[in-house]
Amino acid sequence: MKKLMAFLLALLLAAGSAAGIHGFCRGRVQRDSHTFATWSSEKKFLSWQGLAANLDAQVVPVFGSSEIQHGRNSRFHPAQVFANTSFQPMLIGAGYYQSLNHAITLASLQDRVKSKKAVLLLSPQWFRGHGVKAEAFASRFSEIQFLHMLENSGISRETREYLVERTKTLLAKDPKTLARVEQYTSEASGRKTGVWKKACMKIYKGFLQEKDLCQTVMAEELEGIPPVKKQTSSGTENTSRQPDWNALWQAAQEQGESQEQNPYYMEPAAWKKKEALIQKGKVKRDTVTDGYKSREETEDLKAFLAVCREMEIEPLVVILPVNGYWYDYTGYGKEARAKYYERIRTLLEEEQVSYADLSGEEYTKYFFEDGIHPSGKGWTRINEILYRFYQEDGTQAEG
Amino acid sequence: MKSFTDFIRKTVRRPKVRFALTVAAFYVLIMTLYLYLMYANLSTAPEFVYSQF
Repeated sequence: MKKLMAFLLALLLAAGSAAGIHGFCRGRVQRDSHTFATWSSEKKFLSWQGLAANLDAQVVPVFGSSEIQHGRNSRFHPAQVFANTSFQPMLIGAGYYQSLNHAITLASLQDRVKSKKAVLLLSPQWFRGHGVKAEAFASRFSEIQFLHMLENSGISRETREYLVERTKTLLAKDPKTLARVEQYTSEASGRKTGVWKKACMKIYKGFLQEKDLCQTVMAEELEGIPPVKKQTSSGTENTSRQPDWNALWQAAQEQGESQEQNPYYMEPAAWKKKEALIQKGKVKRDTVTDGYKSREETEDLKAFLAVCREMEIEPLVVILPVNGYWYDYTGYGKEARAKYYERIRTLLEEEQVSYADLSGEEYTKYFFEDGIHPSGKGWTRINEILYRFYQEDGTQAEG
Repeated sequence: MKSFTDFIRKTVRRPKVRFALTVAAFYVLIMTLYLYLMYANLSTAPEFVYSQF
């Protein structure tokens, strides 16, 4: 009896502690929006609480993939370029985050995207094979975002069903998560569920919400993301400086010229890795006449655009190029690549979506860090497009 | 030293102290479980090794 009493008392104290942790986390999830927006972390990308709490009218979600991780410490990365401006690009994505992940994330945010704009940095590699790999999708799947997507009454039934079916297909490699997703969708579609099962689901969803909150705040604390800045007595900080795009472009040119040169105009560190692979005979050189045309990824992209349309969010798709010099070497020639770019432009025009076409930069020297990721010039070009989109009222940004 | 160990032994034998220690032990167990559930990576997704394109 005494042990039972001790346990119950301990349970009560633990509940109090958990409530205290919850209160602490609730008060700290919102952070300085500049720092949070450009912070790169899996915890952030998979979070719902973190993203939802840090979207204000100056924040534009920028969905991409591995390019977001590159050049983070350079002066050309958005985190540095926009540090003293009013524009805050919410960078979301890492390697193998593709259209479907981003569609679910955006749909989960419902009406919290106050700027009513979103950018998609579209990489050609997304369209290889059958689109996003199942293992990659499963490892980048956010259950809490999926749940919030299901609750978004602003997206059509058709779009929701597409997102659900694709998710189920790609979670085949993660049967436990798939089983839960099937329960969520069953419940969301109004099918009768047993009382006990319903109660368990409710508890589990509450657990996911709490876990999301705690993990996000802990990640923010460990990263040192500062709290929300207080307003100064004169109003907002002086955040109206526009970046000097010409100066940045020139600086990137000078940086490129000052480095050790190579035939593909990559950064030296990236070139050394490629060179080693070439010497070992590990670089595939096939003659490709067409490719990057995955039907699955194309449909996922259409779903992303449908989410934008239904949520009345204006999208801008940035068609990222590849390093023309390098791709010519590997056998994926200019004509094959041109087919991809044309296919994407046609799709976007049919969907009546604004886009910025950077395919003309394939042979711009010092544009790329390696075969695909942007370097100084690449980021300068992308940043200028982002900034003009943020400022404009919806006219097409030119590539 | 002996007086110290005698003091500890006598204190631990007191019913209220034993009860408090039992509560503390349960509390540590429950909070450990809570913190594990909150902060551990419980993903069941297969390990995916990211490789550069």
